[in-house]
Amino acid sequence: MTLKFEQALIRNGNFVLGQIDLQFRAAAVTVVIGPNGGGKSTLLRAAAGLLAAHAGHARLQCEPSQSARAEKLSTTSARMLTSEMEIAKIMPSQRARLLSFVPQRPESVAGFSVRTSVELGRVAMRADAPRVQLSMERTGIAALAEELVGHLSEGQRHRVAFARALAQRTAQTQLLIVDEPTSALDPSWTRTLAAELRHSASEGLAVIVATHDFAFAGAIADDVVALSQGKITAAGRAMEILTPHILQPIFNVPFRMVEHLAANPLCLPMWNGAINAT
Amino acid sequence: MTARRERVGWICLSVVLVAAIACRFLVGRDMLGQWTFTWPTSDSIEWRTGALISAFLAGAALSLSGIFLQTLLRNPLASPFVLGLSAGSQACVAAAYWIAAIGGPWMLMGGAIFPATVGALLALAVTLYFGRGTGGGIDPISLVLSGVIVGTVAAALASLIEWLLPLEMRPSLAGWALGRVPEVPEISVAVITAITVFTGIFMGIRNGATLDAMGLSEDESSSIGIHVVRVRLYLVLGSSVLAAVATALCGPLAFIGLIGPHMARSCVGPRHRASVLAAAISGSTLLIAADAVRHFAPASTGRLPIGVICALAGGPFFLILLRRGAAKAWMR
Repeated sequence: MTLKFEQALIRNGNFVLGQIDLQFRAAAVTVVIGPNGGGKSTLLRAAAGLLAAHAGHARLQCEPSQSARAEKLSTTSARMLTSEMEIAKIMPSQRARLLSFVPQRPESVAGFSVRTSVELGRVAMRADAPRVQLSMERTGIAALAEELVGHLSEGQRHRVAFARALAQRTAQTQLLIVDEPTSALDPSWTRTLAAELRHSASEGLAVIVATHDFAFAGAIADDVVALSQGKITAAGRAMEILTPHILQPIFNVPFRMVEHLAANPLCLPMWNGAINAT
Repeated sequence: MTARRERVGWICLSVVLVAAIACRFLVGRDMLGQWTFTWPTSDSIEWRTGALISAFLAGAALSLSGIFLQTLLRNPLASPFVLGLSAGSQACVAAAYWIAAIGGPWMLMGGAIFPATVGALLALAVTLYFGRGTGGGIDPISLVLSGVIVGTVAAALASLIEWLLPLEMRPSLAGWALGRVPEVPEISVAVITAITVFTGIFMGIRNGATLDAMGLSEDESSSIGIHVVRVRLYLVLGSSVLAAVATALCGPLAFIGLIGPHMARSCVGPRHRASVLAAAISGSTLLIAADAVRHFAPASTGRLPIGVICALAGGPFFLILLRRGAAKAWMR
């Protein structure tokens, strides 16, 4: 499976992102970085099929997997899956099987229990109680299952949304898209999330994550796309892009490589001079 | 909401419904206009049963309309009265009467339901258009403001049209506009209301999980597989028709459609699988109880219009919701 943007122009209100030529690899984590207002969320929403390309294409190209056949899909939907599909034109019920999306600010009715809220991930498919339970355990909210969403902290609510995306997964799922997950998270859950995202990639999914957290990005990224002012300013393998001389001009902040924080050196923004400069 | 609490909630709802029905059935007036609380005579059995059926159906329809609007707009303050649907129906029914007065009574064939539905849809469309705000998203309070203004204008239009009517047609329309619970409901209207209510309950329960999923942000509900535009269209149509049939039967009644859904959720929890049926029951209970209560008012001035009771009881409830910041606390 590949998700391919070809000459894509995406409009989100007055904001225009484009033209985008990109290909997201399966079984890899692609991190999307860039200054605020650069177009990260727009790109992610287009990848999730929530925004249609105004011009050009955003296509999902996939093969029917063995497991998809095992799920006894009707022949028409199996045939549909072999061809290239404009992602925004897939019916939502079908799209929900192919991808899951966690927005930056998840919302849920405050009166729902955590379990109810996670179960909604399977609203368009067969209920699967063990899968829901497993999703809650992997996101560390199993103990809160009967708690009301309205009583949770922002970080816990983010975990609920991530658990919902995990519960949504089927044998056909190809894509996992997560918009700025780390802003409300404590370090321990950030590490768990990083492990979960790597695990999803190892299961063959194309994982797309937008973030401002460079330690997080450096720890999980295979590929990196840098966006600013609605244009791609750099794209490639993580070790080529996450370097001071590429990031410095994009963010207008000095960066430096730091060793021993992760398996590979991390490229982090520097604080020297920041306080005096203002 | 644990299963045990939900069971207790269902029992409470049933007990209150039965109590309200019993109350309405037993309460009446004697020759002197004093209220009585006895088994009815054979004549009044028929009347009281008719009133019970009217109140049962209209209450359920209003409350269902309310719960669908609240789901559609993700706004606990939404209801057919607050968003102007009831007044829209009222204005269009008045207009239909006026056209009938000019063009002959055959213009009113099919009763008030058709114009009421048109009015409710129009009012909701205008309310949504002006309540949207500039940011694209719907601000709950702006929406309510927009609805209140649309409702006020529509009610004024209804009064204007009523004033244009020939004198002999005015009283029936004026009485209806204050809210009534007909003891002898028009059969066609009652049957259509019943069909609408049962369809609403059936569809609501059947698609309960989909309606629950509408409680997420639009991006999330779309990406878990909900065809958001289609579901919204169904909710707009459903809530408008439900509000319209209730208005055609009993006139524009305030706040039943607001309190019913809240009562339902506090008893059986927010999942639509349970709360849709519970909302219908709550709405019926409220309107039957309101109908019973008005018999206790002094009789010398005639019977108190039901709309007065609804507004007196419902207004404070709305204010309490507003004070508690319900609109903000609803979504997390």
